[in-house]
Amino acid sequence: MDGEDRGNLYLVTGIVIGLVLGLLFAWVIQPVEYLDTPPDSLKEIYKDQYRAVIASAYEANQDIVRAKARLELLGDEDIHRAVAEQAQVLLADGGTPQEAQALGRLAAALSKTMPISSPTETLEE
Amino acid sequence: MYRTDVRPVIKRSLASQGRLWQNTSDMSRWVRFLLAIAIGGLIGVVYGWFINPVEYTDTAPAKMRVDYKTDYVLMVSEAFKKDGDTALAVERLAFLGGKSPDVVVFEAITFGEEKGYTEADLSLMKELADELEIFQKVRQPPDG
Repeated sequence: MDGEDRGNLYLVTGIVIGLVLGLLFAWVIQPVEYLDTPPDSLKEIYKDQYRAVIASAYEANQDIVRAKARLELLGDEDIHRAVAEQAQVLLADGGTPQEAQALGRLAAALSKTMPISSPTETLEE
Repeated sequence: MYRTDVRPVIKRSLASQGRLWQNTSDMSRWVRFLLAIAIGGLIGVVYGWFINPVEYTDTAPAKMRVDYKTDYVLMVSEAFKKDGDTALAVERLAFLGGKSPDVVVFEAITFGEEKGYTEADLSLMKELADELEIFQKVRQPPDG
């Protein structure tokens, strides 16, 4: 009986080794390469650039609905905060003033479209 | 009569058959072991590629879907309409990867026309395309 158990164990070991090798190959050596990705999967630095262009486009057309729809593609939890923070960081780092101003104006326009939170909600927070 | 004890002969014969059997058994164990590794590997690859693939984050803009790229070109065109800065538009279009900016805009216009973008939006992109053509001609060194 002990001999039989040991006999089957080598098969289990083989499967485990194969599994590990297979996962290593699929996840590390040759992972799935995605194409046709959405903007929310972009690296943060690219998202910042994308956001800056949205702000510049908004400067031109003043279409806040379109700007909001574009910002939402980036998957930020709070699009207003993301834009405002980026404007502040850009100013602090000595970035392009025009870009910072565009972001600031977009943030201001977004804040006008946001619902005003009730005093009760604020107290609960 | 000299009687030969055949028992040792039989024993040796059986023993050699046993070794032969053992060799075959060893070989088939190795084959089964390698087969188990292969099966495990196949399961691992199927799992890693189809059931639970690596989640792609931190992607590059060049990998974006064509409609997102087209909208990005449109944004650049809208911004260009206001500031008229061709060099800045070229810099922004470089965001979408290695293709030359006129090709990027041309592809965006083609996609926009196929998908029924508004005339206003197409017109903005076409204006940018025209400006890029001039810009690149100016930047190219003269022949000769």
